[in-house]
Amino acid sequence: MSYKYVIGPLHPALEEPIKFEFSVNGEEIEDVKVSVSHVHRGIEILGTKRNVIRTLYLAERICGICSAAHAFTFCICVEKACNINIGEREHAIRCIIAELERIHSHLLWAALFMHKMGFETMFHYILLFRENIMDTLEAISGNRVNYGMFTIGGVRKDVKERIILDSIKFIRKKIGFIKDGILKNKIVKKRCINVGILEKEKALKLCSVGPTARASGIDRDIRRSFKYSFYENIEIDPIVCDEGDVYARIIVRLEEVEQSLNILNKIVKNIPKGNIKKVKVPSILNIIKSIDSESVARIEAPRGELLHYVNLKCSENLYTWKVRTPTYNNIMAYTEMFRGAEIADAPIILASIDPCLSCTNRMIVKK
Amino acid sequence: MISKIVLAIIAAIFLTGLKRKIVARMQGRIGPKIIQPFIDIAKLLQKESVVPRTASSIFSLIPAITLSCSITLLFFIPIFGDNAIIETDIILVLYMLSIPSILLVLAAIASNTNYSSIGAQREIIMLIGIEIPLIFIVLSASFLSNSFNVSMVKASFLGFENPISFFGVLLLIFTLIIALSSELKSLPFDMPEAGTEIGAGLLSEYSGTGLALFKIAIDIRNFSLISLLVYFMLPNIGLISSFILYTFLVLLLYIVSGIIPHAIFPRMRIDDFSNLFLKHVTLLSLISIVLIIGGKIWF
Repeated sequence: MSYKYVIGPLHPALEEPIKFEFSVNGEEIEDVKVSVSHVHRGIEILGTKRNVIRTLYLAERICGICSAAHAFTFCICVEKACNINIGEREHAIRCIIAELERIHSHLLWAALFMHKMGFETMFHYILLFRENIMDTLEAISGNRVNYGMFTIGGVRKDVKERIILDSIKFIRKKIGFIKDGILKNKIVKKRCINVGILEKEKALKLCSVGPTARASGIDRDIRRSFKYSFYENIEIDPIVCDEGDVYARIIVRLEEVEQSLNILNKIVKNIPKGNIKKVKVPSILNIIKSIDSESVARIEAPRGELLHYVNLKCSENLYTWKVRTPTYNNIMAYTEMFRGAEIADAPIILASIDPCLSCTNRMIVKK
Repeated sequence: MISKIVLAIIAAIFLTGLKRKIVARMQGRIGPKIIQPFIDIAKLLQKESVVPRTASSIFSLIPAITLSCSITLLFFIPIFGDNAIIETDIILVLYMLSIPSILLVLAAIASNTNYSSIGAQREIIMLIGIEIPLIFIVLSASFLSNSFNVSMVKASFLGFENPISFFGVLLLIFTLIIALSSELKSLPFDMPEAGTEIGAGLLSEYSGTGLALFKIAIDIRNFSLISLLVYFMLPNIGLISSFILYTFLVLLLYIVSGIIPHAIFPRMRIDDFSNLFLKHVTLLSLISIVLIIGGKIWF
């Protein structure tokens, strides 16, 4: 006999507005219905009712975890439309913020994933180590969540390289502990290996992005394939796992933290000396007012490919603004992953793609 | 007699506070006060109880029944290093020990919601998994002592006179610690109450007074289980020294079986659990019993 088991829109396993209706037989999941759009934030409409500089800060507030990624993409997008060029040091500072954000996002994911698995001690330790990255970001930008570092035509604050090097040293020491604690744990292995499998062909068909795709054997990284900003000067190695299960996703994300540390090291070594250029907002707005153009930009956010589209029509406000977040692509993969799983696996499969549904639900309207 | 029972109830709730404090320290947190469970229970007792519309009529009766069963259990268990208030059969004690679990399952089924019924399924699976090794142990003990009486059984278990039996007793204690930690529902084995999977499972529909009564009942049951195991380990010494040794052993057993696993393991899956218990733990308990009995017959 099968019965319904519902996760969400409010559930301790997933504190995000999404609803899963599982048809369960005993402990085994037979079918799943996913319904998103329990929240409509209307951010894109809001963004067209204020000038572009103010919209940038709105873009930063789409997500609380990958806030810099949204601001980064929005800046690249508007700069492309208006042909604004920025200096190398500004590019490097942008990438530093993006990589620091990737590290803290992945560590937060690892912590929450452990919490969902019931590994409370690791949860507390990872959050303790993550605090160092948050402090570094605060030391650089003055903020802990929405950094306010980006502006169209440059960055708002300069960085001191020493702070970043100290942080790299600290996290490099701790990441070994985290990796050993998670990946060598027998119960973690038992619960994650061969659970929530997303095969390579399915992942390609369902357009998975980011670490979810890379764990399924697809080498899809915007930093490598469509180089942008300061990443043009840096060689990035691919991190790909072929298994496609939850364990592979853990490996990919934890390896990416180490990779980000290496990238940060390279950026700090190659960063051009000098001062950043001060951006004059009225002159930027003047340029924007004279532009009739559209553009698309995409970057590799912590969760995968993030896409912004803007359309400017000779006004300081945007005419159209469209955002596609990585979770929007990855949600499709859920139905494939849940096939044959058990109820005990449901929370960890849910968490394994690192969903950020407040970002995603921003734009879908359910009829 | 009444003061002994009251002290036992206080000690039982105190153990939970100790657990929360020690686990917090192991996780790098400051943690709550040790008397926090008392504060929680006092707060819960003042709160309104919400009864779901789908619940059956016995829903609000079960907490009180469970608590009274648990308190009755204290009369049959030798606590504080002394003999039990009522000397009785070990079979009865085993039955009494599993009654709170069965009532919990009944409560979950009575609340008639999905999360609770999944919790109830898991609880039943765990009950079966743990009962089998326990019954093996009790049967072998009664075989050795030709009696089901608790104090007689204890006397027969304490024979360390030959090396094979001694090794068997060590193995048995190891098995019992695993069984105990799954009975305590501490972390690797808290599947029936898995917060992040089925939202507190068995007790997800209980609130206010009902929840408070259940919390006290479960604490008392855990305490009596540990007390019973400690009683079998205690040598025959004076009352005061056996009380000191009892306190030490209770704390040690609780830390080893309840607190350390809670801090170092993630939650298991229910099929892994039944695999572990029905195959490995049962086998281990069988081996240890063969060693104990064989050693006694051999020498």
